[in-house]
Amino acid sequence: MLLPIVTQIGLALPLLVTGAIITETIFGWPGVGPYFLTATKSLDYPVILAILLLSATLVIVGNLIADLLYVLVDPRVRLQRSAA
Amino acid sequence: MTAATAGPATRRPALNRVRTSVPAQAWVAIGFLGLLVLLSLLAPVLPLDPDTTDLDAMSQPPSPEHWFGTDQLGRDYFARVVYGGRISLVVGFLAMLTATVIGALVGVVAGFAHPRVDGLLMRLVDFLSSIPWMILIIVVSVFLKPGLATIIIVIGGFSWMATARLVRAETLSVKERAYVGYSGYIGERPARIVIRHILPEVLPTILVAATASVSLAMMTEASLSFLGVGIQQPMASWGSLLQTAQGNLQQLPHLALIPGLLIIATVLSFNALGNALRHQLSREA
Amino acid sequence: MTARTDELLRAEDVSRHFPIRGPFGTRTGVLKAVDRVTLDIRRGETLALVGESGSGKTTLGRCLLQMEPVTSGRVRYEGVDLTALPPQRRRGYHRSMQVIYQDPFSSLNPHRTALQQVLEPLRVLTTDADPTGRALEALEQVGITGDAVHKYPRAFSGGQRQRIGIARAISVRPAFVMCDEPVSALDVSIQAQIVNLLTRLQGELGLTYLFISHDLSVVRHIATRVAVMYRGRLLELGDTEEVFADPRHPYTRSLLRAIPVADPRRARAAALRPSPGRPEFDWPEEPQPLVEVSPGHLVAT
Repeated sequence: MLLPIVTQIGLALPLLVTGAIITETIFGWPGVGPYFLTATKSLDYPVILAILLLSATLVIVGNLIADLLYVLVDPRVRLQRSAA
Repeated sequence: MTAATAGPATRRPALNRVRTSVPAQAWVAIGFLGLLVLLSLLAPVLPLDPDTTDLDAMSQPPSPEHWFGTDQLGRDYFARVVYGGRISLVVGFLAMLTATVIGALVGVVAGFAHPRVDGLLMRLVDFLSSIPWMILIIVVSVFLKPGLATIIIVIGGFSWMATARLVRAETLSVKERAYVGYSGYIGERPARIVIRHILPEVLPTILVAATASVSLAMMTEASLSFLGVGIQQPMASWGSLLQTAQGNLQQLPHLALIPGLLIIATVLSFNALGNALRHQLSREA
Repeated sequence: MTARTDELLRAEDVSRHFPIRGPFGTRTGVLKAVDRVTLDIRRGETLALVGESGSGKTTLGRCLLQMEPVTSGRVRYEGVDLTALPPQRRRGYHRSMQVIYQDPFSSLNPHRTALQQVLEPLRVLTTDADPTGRALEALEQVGITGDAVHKYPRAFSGGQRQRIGIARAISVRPAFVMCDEPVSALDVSIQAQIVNLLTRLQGELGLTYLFISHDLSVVRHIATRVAVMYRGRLLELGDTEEVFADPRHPYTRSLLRAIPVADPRRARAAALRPSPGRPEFDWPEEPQPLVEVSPGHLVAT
């Protein structure tokens, strides 16, 4: 039962960047979201690259954390390896 | 024998209960969507003028002459909303079409072909799915020529993965049926097997995925246009209307509320439609 | 075993193994669905292949038809080694070897009419000038006539769907038909009808049947010879009456006394491990050739 929750936790990490784009634009908060938008509109490549890298890293780290949490949460995940 | 008869008997009451409540929602949804489509199709012949500015009648609230009021430049908002709806619906529909065609094709091929091909295609799907999609869409739409076609291609090109997964799962299960195996045995051409035997069974799944796709596509288009990377002036869509309405949210709430509520209503309608379809199909199974 | 002149189909030392894979895709074992089976099917006879769920009888049937590749061994049809043929050449034999499936619900395409389904093998396997005529003829032979041929499977009962499946198989005038538990999914009263239909067609069209079943009462009625399988191996083979009257292998004896298990999954799982309730008999590492205990009656040691 916890497994889907763990999956969502892992997926939530990259959402810190991507989900914020619209929210920050609406409320006018100076976050990564609007920064990314203005960078793309003005074709500011270094910034675009940096943020893409950031979000890619967050995806990978998020998935890694989720995988590690799986092992803790579901004892079967560990046991399969030894039963083989 | 007792096990076999007990099963369906205990399942049926639940199915009956759901069936009576869903059709009502679905009819409202169909009615609403039908009205939208009708208005969008008839727009050119109706006496609507979304572009003429009237500086004497700027920022008016809804009134008998201007049903939805006017915007900051004095343009009739009802007209702008109708024309905006045209664009939003067209983008949503065509993007859905793109995504559904690509997704169905990839799904059927992955499900039906050699496991290696399936593995390869699924890696591709996983790869595309793992990229934060909003960011990718924004980047791509900025780098391509801005316009209607770009937006449709971009949205369609990045939302087909879910359909592909669904279709593949369905294809894999249909492939195991005896009649499909028989066709393969007698030597029917694979293309024929897919069209004659697999596609008819998979079609309902594709339709349901399509309705979900439209909702997603419209939301994405609204988000993109709202952020300024989607539909550009002078064309308007509900999303871009939302963007121009941002500046005067307190004084002119109707400028944001109307397109916003319409987006919500349309998405909900498509979802209700999808739900109804799914219930209908699971009943027939 | 020397080949007889009336031999139609023959399995020589056929094995079909499935690799068991661990969590990382490595081979951790092998499932011997069919374990070195040798048997022959003679022209005009009905050979029954009996055994419990999981015994490998369906897999053996599929190997005979080349629906599945054999891991080792040969399959000969009229002396020709099918396993050595390239797929293109093998296709030619599929007209002579047809199949009837167990489940009347998944053996027909719900979106095609009865006529269209019977037409399919005619269209693909033959170049007849009038395939529709022959399809209608086949349907009539199984008792489906008139407007009914244009109806969809959902309009038919289980027994009628099975008839459509039979019509589909005989429409191309095969010599051999593998019947994979054709009556197991039907009501007992309908079972008799279908079995009688199959017997009649055998006489009219000169068919040879491989009748796979776990139902011994039906088998006794229709089969000329019986082959008993268990855990992938052939344990006993002989004329029906003789095997029923004088079963030599302990497993055959227990089968004739046994009560069928309702849940096929449980049955399959039980069949794959030796259970304490089963009569003890030898289970050598490798199956040994069968011994002829009386003319035409072979038993595994």
